[in-house]
Amino acid sequence: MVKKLNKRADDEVILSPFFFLMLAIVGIAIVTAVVVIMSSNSDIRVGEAKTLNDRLVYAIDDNGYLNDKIIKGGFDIFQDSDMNSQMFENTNDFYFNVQIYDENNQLKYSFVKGNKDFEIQCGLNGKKLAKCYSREIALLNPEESGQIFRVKIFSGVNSGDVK
Amino acid sequence: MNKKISKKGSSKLVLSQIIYIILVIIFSVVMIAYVVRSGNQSAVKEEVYAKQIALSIDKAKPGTEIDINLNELNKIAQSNKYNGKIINIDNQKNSVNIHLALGNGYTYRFFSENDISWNINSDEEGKPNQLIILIS
Repeated sequence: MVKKLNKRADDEVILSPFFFLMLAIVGIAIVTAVVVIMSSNSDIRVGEAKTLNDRLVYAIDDNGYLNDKIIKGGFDIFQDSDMNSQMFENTNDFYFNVQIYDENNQLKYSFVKGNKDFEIQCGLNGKKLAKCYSREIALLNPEESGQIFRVKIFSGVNSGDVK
Repeated sequence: MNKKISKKGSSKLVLSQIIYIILVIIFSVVMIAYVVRSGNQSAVKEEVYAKQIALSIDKAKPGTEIDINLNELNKIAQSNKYNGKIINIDNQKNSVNIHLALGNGYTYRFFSENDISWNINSDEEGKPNQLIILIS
């Protein structure tokens, strides 16, 4: 029995265009993975949105009671939370919406500042869209014992790169 | 049973396999070098440090002291032969700038209104090795 081995065919299999295509696919996959991992590692927008939310709670919450300056007057959300108002007015990078409801679900007080588009962006998926954080807390009324306020706090942040 | 394998054909096969192995090794080395360099690039470190410092400032309550070791940044700046200012925290613009190579560096903003005072401590050789930020 005579068997002829086709060596040329073997060569073609080893160094075929398919081999180079395979290398290119693996290379693109590695580069994409590195870019995605690097960018996700340095994305702190969710952390910032939570920090912003924490600062708002810090301003509104007075040991479990609603800050009485909100009811009596003289409440400045930026001053009471130690936040720079210019960053909310002059940039499109930040947004917050604080809504305070009474027990009858009536909106009593509202504080909104920044880029309102974040309310929509945060409901969508997209790498370049804003990242948000929201929470709901209950606070006692400092004026009337037993009465509770329901507070909804929504905060959003987008890229803070300064070009 | 007879097998006919020409010497010319077998040497060609060996050669093509050697080329194949060399190409795979070159490809692997290039990819590994790319991944390692990506992690150590000064641009990445500038961004990571600027964001970490900005987030730390935003999270900090008055009375907080933040200490940051600068040895890693120093090494990168030295490898880039950059001798200028590595860090700048601008209270007026509410921004942190990290600079590890020639160019503008990377700047990131923070929203805290707290007073921020900062200082860089140097080692015996005069190289900055510690950043101290005081929030008041």
